[in-house]
Amino acid sequence: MTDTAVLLKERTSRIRAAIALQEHDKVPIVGNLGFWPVKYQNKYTMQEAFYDIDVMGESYEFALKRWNQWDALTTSVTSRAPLLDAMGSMRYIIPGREISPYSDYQHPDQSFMEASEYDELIKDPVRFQANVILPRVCKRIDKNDLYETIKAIAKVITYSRQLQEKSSMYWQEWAQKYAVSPLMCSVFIVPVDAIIDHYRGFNQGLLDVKLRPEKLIEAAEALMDHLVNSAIAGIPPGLDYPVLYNPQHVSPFISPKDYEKVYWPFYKRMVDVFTERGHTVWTVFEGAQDQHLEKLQELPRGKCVAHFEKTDLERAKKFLGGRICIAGGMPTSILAKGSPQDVEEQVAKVMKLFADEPGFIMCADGGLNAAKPENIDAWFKAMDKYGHLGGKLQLLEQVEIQQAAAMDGVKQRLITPWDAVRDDFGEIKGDEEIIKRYWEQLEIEVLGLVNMILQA
Amino acid sequence: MSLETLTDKIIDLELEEVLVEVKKLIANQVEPLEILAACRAGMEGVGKRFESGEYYVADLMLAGNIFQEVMQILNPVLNEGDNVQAKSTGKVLIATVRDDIHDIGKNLVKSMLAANGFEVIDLGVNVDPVVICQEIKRHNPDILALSCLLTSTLEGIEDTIAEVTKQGLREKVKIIVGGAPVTAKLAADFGADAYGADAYAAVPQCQALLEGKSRD
Repeated sequence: MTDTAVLLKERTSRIRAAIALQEHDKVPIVGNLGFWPVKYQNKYTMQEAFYDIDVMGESYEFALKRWNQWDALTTSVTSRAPLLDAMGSMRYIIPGREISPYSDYQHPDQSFMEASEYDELIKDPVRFQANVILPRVCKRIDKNDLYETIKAIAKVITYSRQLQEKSSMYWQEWAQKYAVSPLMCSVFIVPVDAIIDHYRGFNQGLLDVKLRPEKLIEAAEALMDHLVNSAIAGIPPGLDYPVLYNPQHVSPFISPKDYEKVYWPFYKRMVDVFTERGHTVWTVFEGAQDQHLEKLQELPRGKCVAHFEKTDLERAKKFLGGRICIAGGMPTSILAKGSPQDVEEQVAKVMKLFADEPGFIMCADGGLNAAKPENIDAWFKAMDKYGHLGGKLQLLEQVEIQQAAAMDGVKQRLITPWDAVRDDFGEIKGDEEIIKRYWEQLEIEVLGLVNMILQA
Repeated sequence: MSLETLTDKIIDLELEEVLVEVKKLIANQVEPLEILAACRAGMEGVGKRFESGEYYVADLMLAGNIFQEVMQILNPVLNEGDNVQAKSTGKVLIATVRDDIHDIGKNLVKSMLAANGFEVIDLGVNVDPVVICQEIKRHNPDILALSCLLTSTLEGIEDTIAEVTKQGLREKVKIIVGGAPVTAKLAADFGADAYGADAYAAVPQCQALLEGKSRD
């Protein structure tokens, strides 16, 4: 094993130990770099980075040359603008269009679904997403212009393959050179977040929580299996220790009473399915979610990470310490606007709270965004000073993924099962099993891509 | 039903019952300004529940929605005959700063301020500092409220306050700032007069600014 390979194994083991609440040497530090390396390198615009993965790759290389102390990165190296343009997606504001080419891409609040359409969504959520929502979001997906639509989908397939190949190439290179790896392998979204973020929009969706919770719950129930299957379909095969990333957007804005009604039951069920399958769940609790801490105690012990943005960490530790690994501790506002001394004081304060037992991962509360380089230096320096736990790090082996247990209680991961199309094939004189096998195999293989297109 | 009951129904976020009651009170020839005052008292009660941690943003949004629907019923009668117009508490110019297109926080603050008697002029999102200065000269507001969601657009707040100062307008207008990445310390560093920590805090903060004092 090379020195870098050993270092990479140490880092992965440290993160696993922190999540599993087991003894280790020091608090791991995870970087959510996002598009920050582009700003740090100061050679390209954000627009260039959002269109060209090689620009992203060069900027990451530039930043990793200076700072390679991260135990892992939560970020994905992606340049999605050509893909969004191919579909004519109106979901995002891309740098250089409406906003400065130096700005971050943004997600404006838009509603693509009426309240009166809930029943249609409940009846067949995937088809509703494809037939109703997608053409509203994407100008190039048009039921009346199949040529443009086919072209758009072909572009998406071609470009997403290129992105995936390049992205894997970069990560392999950085693992070998800098002993850093991407932590997240797939994403899952709680149904209410999917409904509100992707269909109803934030304003209308939050009103639905108050005015029509029954419809929201029915729709969430209808979407559950599809969302679980989509997350699983996104996991690259054979990946050791897959962590599923789960950003939560709606939960900070609702009361514990509403949370228990429309949000928690679905989140808990998803976490149970994934953790029983052997995955770890990394949830980003956006905003301040102090009101839900008590409920989070019910998450499975040692299998989840609760990454907090503005939730009071002292309270979080009180409720979740020794049960769930907590992540966060570095406000992006301090990295962007504070001084190195502010950074050190923040690290000292947080470590005083968490360096007494395993179960904490230090990271920024959001993407590094506008962090000053001298503050990143101060951050690592302070972690060296305050982040030691005094334990011994044990190198861990691969984790077995319990594939069979995974799908218990979740419908099969096919959009259109064989039985639903069998009659379209007329009389089958040969071996039906051959036809069925290939039909279902492709159904499974395209699920990730279909889901990516549906969420464009 | 009485004006007190109307206030209570607003506090309890009973949309349908509130609308029925407002219509009844108008039919019974209750003074529109008294109905408006009862609604504003209800919104104040909603704000208290938010401050106490009983209500959250979704509840505030529903309250804002209820108030807007009430005003659609009430405005025609308020504008009719000899009715004296409701006096505005103060004039607020509100905007999301340059390069930031997020408006959820801004819109919520706008709706809470309007429900509490402020006249609010909304400049929208991604508003350049120079445009904000032009609008200050045009509208002469008491307060300028600036919002951003991203850490990378915090500069928009800084630059806007610098531009307001550069154009000699700083003494004419009080400035309140808010949004996810903004902290009390940053607000002070930027030279703002007040900081709105959450969706409702802008209301008491703006009231305090008009009274010429700072609420910590």
